[in-house]
Amino acid sequence: MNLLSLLFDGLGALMGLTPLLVILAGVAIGILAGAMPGISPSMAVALLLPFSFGMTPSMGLVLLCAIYLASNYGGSITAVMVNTPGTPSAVVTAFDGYPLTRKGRAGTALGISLIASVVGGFIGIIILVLFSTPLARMALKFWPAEYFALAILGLSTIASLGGGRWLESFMAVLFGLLLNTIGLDPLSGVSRFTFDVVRLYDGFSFIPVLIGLFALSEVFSGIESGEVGMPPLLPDKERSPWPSLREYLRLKYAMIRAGVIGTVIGVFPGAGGTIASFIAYDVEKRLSKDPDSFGKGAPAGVAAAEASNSSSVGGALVPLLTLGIPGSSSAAVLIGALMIHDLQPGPELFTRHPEVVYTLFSSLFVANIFLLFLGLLGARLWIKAALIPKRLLYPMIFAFSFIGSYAVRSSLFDVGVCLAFGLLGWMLSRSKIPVSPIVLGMILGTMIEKNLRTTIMMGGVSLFFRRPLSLALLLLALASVVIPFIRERKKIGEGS
Amino acid sequence: MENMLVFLGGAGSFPVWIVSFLAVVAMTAVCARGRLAPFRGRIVICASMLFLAFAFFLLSFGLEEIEAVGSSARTAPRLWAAGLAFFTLDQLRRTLLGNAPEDPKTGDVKRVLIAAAIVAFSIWGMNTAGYLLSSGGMILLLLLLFGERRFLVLLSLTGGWTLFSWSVFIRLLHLSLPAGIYFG
Repeated sequence: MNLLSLLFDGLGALMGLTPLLVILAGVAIGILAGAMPGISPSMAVALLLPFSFGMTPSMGLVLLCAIYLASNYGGSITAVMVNTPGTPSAVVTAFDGYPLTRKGRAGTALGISLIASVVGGFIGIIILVLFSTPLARMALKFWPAEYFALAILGLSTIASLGGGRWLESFMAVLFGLLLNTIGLDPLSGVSRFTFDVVRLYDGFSFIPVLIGLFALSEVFSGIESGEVGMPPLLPDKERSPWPSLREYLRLKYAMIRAGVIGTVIGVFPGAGGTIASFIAYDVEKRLSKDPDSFGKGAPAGVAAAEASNSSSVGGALVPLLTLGIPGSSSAAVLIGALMIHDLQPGPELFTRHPEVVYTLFSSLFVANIFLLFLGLLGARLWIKAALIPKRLLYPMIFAFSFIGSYAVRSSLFDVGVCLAFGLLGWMLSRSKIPVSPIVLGMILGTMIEKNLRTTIMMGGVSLFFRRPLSLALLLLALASVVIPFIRERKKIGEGS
Repeated sequence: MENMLVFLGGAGSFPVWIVSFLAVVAMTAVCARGRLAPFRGRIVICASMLFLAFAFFLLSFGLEEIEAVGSSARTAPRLWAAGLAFFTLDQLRRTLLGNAPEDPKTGDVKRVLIAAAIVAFSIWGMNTAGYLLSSGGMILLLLLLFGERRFLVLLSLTGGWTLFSWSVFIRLLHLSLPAGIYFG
């Protein structure tokens, strides 16, 4: 009851033109920033941080959280339309979103991604409001052994990503992990495989690699296949302008499952929306009656990816507000915003400044509603992008990709990396070697290596098996690789 | 031995690695003939992966060990390189036995290479001409390569992109894009 009245008080604080405009602006900026490859949610929040100085603590936080929430959805727009994930967490959305666009069903993909984002966002916020404290306590019980096991569980999703091409997927993920070792060693600071090139000390920046492997490789494939000279695919305006209510309802369990997975994974510092979306996608594919449709335009794939990455925002705010530990890089920037306003994140925030906390919670609900409306308005505009002939679109994708690659570290080297990975992705996909496991390897590489070595230092390899949670996660990862493998072998055996 | 490993991991050895890599790629491409011709692309990729796994494994011996940290920077690269070599060798075995999917029919590879060259040239030219000129030029050349001949479309897209990137990325978002020697 107390919780409800606090939430209503928070909502009351937002009932004015200025707070609503602040949220609206935050959501609009977030969508735009998320849609621009290279402008990550954390970068968007950081860029707008100075604007919060002149606001009250509540309003400043409301603005930044609205940007954070909306940018996770924004990343899916370019992922769906041009196979260029605007944010790393939108990588998984592209797996099925872009194939849907290629089938002329851009409206379906955008509609599902929007609704799943909103549903996921609500799930994340509800869990944040109701279970902040127990979830934060659970996250504190995680040792490096558990983080390692969690990352391995994330890695086990290659069984789904490769679309049945096991050997190629393992090859690709190990290639990604190997590439991730380039740069300074995360524990000792030793320079590895840099050939004394200073720009390589930080390793390959993730965004240029991502843009290259997903967007440019697709463009090169389009040029090779002669698609560049073909008329554009007409969106399905006549056949199904937008997903029907029945279609949304069919995906309700997928969204709820992914929403819960996203929130729980978002709670763990460092895990974030990207891992959440990979795991949620994997779970959905395994539960699906038609797993073969995943990667070829399965609506459930888009729903799972989007619901999980949006709900991870709520999850990331749990340790931030209750313990002062950021669950993601965007949350780390938010800690800065709290401190600028003399607010110390942690348990005392709830007792000393409940008005700030509950205004923030309420604003997330409002921001989600605004996201729905702005998303609906904007999506109709984005669908028109599918009408642009490829010969005009491809040069723009190159130019846009370069901005995205350059913006991360202001380095032309990264632009070159983007082009190189574009060509690599094109060559690999010609030989039917999946590129998404490379990305997965690069995302999880540091987390795996750091926690593996830390655990070994803490108590040897046996520590992974002595800690029940770590053992359970590792067994789960093993099962999620072995079971589909056995099932597939069985199917092949029956077929022959 | 140690001196050689230090040299191989240093700046001076980079061209050696590149030349070796290209030699391996070229040799594999030439050798994959006759029965293996339909798998040429896949065989070249396997050979490249094996070369990379070997290179990383070898170079890991030259990595500095810091005792105080208690864990080695060599562990992960060796683990991943060994795994990559294992799976690639198996992939190669399957390919050589003809159990892998054949390469797709080659399309307009020439146009892909020209497009990549235009893009690479544009990146190379950014330090001199600046992002705006360089990207504008790239868009114009790519449009021409892709068969666009309408003057108004060429002008509006090239000019439009230049204007858009200047107003949004430079003026609004304050991104420090390469200015070049003419505008720097």
